[in-house]
Amino acid sequence: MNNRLKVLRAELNWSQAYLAEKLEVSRQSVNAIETGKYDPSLPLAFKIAKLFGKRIEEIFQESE
Amino acid sequence: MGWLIRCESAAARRYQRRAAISMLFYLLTLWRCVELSKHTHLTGWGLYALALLPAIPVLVTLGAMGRYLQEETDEYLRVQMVRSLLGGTAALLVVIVVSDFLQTLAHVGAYPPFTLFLVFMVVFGLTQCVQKLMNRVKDDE
Repeated sequence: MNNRLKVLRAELNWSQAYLAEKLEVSRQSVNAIETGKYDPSLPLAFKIAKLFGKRIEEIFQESE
Repeated sequence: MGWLIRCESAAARRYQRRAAISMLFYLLTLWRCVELSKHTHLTGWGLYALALLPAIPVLVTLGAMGRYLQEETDEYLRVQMVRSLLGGTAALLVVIVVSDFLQTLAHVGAYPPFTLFLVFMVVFGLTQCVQKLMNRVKDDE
């Protein structure tokens, strides 16, 4: 699964640590999601989408 | 080296404290039981009971791991713990299978005593370290 988390975070000039704090997860988690090493669960994906004010599919896309 | 031992969450800090205490108890119990066995020359049920004592802190250590999996709210850290447990279990089973094979067919001596739990814990710890290394983040990111 691809995601635009890094781009969205950069647009808001947020650090990984700040985003992790907002999502109440570890910085390792944010890094793993951004680099595609880990696909978040549905509840976490919803939390990310809500935080950025977007729909899940605007952030996460199925890999081709 | 700080990133290797830094705890990512409150649950991880609690787990590390519990695991450290139970491991210390394991070493102390094992040492005391071996000493007691040598000096008292126990046999039969007494020896079986004595042999069971060091297994208690082992169960407590695994219980601490299970409790961590329950308490940890960060799903990625939970996945890392499960991967590490799989790494430790795989190493343990490989040692047992290879050793049993060699003992049965090549009549080669078994592994040194009290090494199996150590093998599990060392590989478990190494798997944790490798995962942290692979997911290391720079401070300016």
